[in-house]
Amino acid sequence: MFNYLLRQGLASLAVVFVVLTATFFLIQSAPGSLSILADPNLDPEVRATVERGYGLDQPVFVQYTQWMGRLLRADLGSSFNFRRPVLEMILERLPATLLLGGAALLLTLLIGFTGGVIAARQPNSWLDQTLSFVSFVGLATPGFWLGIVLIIIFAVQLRILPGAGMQTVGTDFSLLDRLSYLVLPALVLSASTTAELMRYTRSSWLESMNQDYVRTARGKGLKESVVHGKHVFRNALVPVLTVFGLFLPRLVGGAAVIESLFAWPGIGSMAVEAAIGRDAPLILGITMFISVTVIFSNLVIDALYVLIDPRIRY
Amino acid sequence: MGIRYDGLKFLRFAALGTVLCATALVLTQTGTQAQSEIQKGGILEIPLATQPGSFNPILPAELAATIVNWTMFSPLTAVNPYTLKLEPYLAQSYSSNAALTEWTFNLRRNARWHDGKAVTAEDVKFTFDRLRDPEEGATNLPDFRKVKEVRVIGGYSVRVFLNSPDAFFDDRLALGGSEILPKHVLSGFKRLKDATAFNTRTPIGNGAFKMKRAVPGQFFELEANPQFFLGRPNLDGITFKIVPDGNTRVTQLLTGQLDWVDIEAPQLNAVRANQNIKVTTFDSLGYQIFAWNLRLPIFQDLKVRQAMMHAVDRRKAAQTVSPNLGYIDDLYIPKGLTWVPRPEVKFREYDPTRAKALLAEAGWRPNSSGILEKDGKIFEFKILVDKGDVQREQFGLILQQYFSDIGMKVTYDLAERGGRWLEETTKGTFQTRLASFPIPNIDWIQRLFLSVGQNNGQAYNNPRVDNLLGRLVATADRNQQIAVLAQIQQALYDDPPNMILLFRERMTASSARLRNVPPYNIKDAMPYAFKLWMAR
Repeated sequence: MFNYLLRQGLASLAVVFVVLTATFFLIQSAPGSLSILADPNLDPEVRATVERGYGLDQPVFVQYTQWMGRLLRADLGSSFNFRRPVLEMILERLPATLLLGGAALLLTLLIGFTGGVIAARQPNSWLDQTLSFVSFVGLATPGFWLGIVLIIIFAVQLRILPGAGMQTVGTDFSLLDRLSYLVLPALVLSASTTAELMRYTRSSWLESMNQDYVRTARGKGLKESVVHGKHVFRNALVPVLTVFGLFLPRLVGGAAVIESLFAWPGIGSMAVEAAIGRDAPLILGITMFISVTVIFSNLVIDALYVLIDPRIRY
Repeated sequence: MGIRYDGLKFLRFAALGTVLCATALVLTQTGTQAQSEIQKGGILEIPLATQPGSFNPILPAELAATIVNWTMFSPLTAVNPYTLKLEPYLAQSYSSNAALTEWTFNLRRNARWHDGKAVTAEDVKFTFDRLRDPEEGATNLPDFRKVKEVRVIGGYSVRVFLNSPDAFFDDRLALGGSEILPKHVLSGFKRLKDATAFNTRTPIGNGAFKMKRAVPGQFFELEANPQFFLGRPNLDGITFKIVPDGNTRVTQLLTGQLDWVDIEAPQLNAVRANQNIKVTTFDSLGYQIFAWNLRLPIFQDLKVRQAMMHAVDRRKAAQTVSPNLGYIDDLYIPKGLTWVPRPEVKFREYDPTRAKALLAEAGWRPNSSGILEKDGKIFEFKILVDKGDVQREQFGLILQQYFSDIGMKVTYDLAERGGRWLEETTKGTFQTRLASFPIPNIDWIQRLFLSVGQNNGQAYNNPRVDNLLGRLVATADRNQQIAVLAQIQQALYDDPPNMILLFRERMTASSARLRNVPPYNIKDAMPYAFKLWMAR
């Protein structure tokens, strides 16, 4: 397996290179300019001076080779609009994104997986149908809309949860305060993934229950709890793990809309600002971070397959 | 002989006015006297749509940075948001010579940097020299191109020598981007953009508030500067919170997490019903326009432009887009600049028959398909509209309909503001576009309508207007300025540079606890934020 992971890791480097190169040229081909130069009333000489200062007056290919050269020296450069090192900015926002993503992931696993198992164990019961209905609603509801509704209910009407931000300004850190800010964005961010995972878990669990080895286990007279806990659970995890692997980068890479709506200071909202402001170094830095996260999470999932299902070999 | 603007006189006048106002208050509102007294303390919470890019006020920056910088750095002059009058600010007083080529500024002796050092004439010279250095890329470089020399003539006095007369040099200093920087902190940097710590986390200013804590991506806490030269602010501090979404900003205002928010008309209903929210409406001193690209021969014909103005029911359009907010006019200087005369001109009313007749006079006649045609070319153009401004998006569709009705082939071209809209605007490749401009003072009239004006993106070129603007900046006499401005108003009416769609009224919504809110937008009110106070 080690050789497999090594091969995959090396192939991933090529993927990152292609992704970054494509992103670089896409940014260059987009019209417009940096947000600090977005004022159409700015003097042309001032505009030219600032662009020259960032090397934007150079031919695109020269800019590309300069940027790639810096990257090979592990230098992500500085943000054009914020005039700060990109790596420092990403690391600054990473804890907030991990916190929100982690909380949403936890909710997804707890509610989605448990709900899916409950539904699968009592197929076509009222509970199964209720959970199916809830998961379809969760899948069909856009996050930004759900966010606004929850803000109106819990922040504006009931006033029991804050509507935006990450902490109460002017106060020291407290766990309770942080959790109160986390509840709504985490719920919204996990709504669709929870619903999705519930559906996948249900179908995967049901499929496993119809497998020969489950019939054999039952035929051996094993208790139903042992059949589910030992045989069905483990095999049902394989497709669930695949889905989980797809969720992970989505949650870790930041959720642009949700972070913007809840003024959550994560990587997602920073990515939006960077894209609007044509901040090439920042966009590329975030892209690299997300692509590495995707690749790394895929490698981890590949490794986990082997642990869960001994039949899988690389 | 020159003009003299004395800060002490102003303060005496202000003090007298305050006494009179206070007396009137006592006489009329005795019952609520206790509530009306200015209270000290409290933290004001204001939103920023984006993270501020730089805390150096003279480098190009987006709106968020400008708002914060206004509270930390001081210009020599400023526009008072309560009166819309220009006042000495960091300058105690200032004067110009009769030729308007030398401006002398005397600084307030009690002005201190946030690190305790005195603000001196050396700081002013340092700032202005950096401003006029093209390699710095300072926003206000155009205003300082005519600066020949900046000379320190005393510890607290500095004289600016200009290449040509400029009666409005003091106005220009008040518009933002010319705030004074600390020489002792920044002189070691070859370029101002290299002062990373100062620019992003630890700015040292001289304004009413100073940086207490910067948490990028979340908020910036500023505390009152007890040594502020115009007196300690009433507030204990201001917290700028980053809230990207406009609806979330309003929600936070409703829940008390924000105290003061710029709002748009569609958000009015959400806040108006709330007794704890106060809505302030004011003349924005700016307008929405439909601009022709006058590089194109088709629009250089005066009759064509006049016809297009008659082709649109602008009163109805303005009422549709902005019900009961703002006004429509054919004079290009807003009513809010009350000292500028308003000659009697006839508004170009909606008159499609007159529009068609004017177009026919210009040689444009409908072809067999009903499309206007001249010398084998059809009357065809795009209206470039920036995405995101609801008013302009609506105006664009309305205009398309009206112009189509008189036989023009019009394409509604919606583009990302920071993308193609900006690119076509800066390169001058648009055909027509919708835009908004502020006209907060006379300086902007030059920027927009002078043939070499820095914001004359549509290439308006009228020698009569150029000549009048030249005379305007070369005269110190207010009465003569007024006479010239009347002629400028008339000249612009006769040869319209663009079609005014709406002089905008803007709104802010504030917590009822926040008092002394000026009738102005948040950004431009910031230099006077030290006058705000919170009721307990």
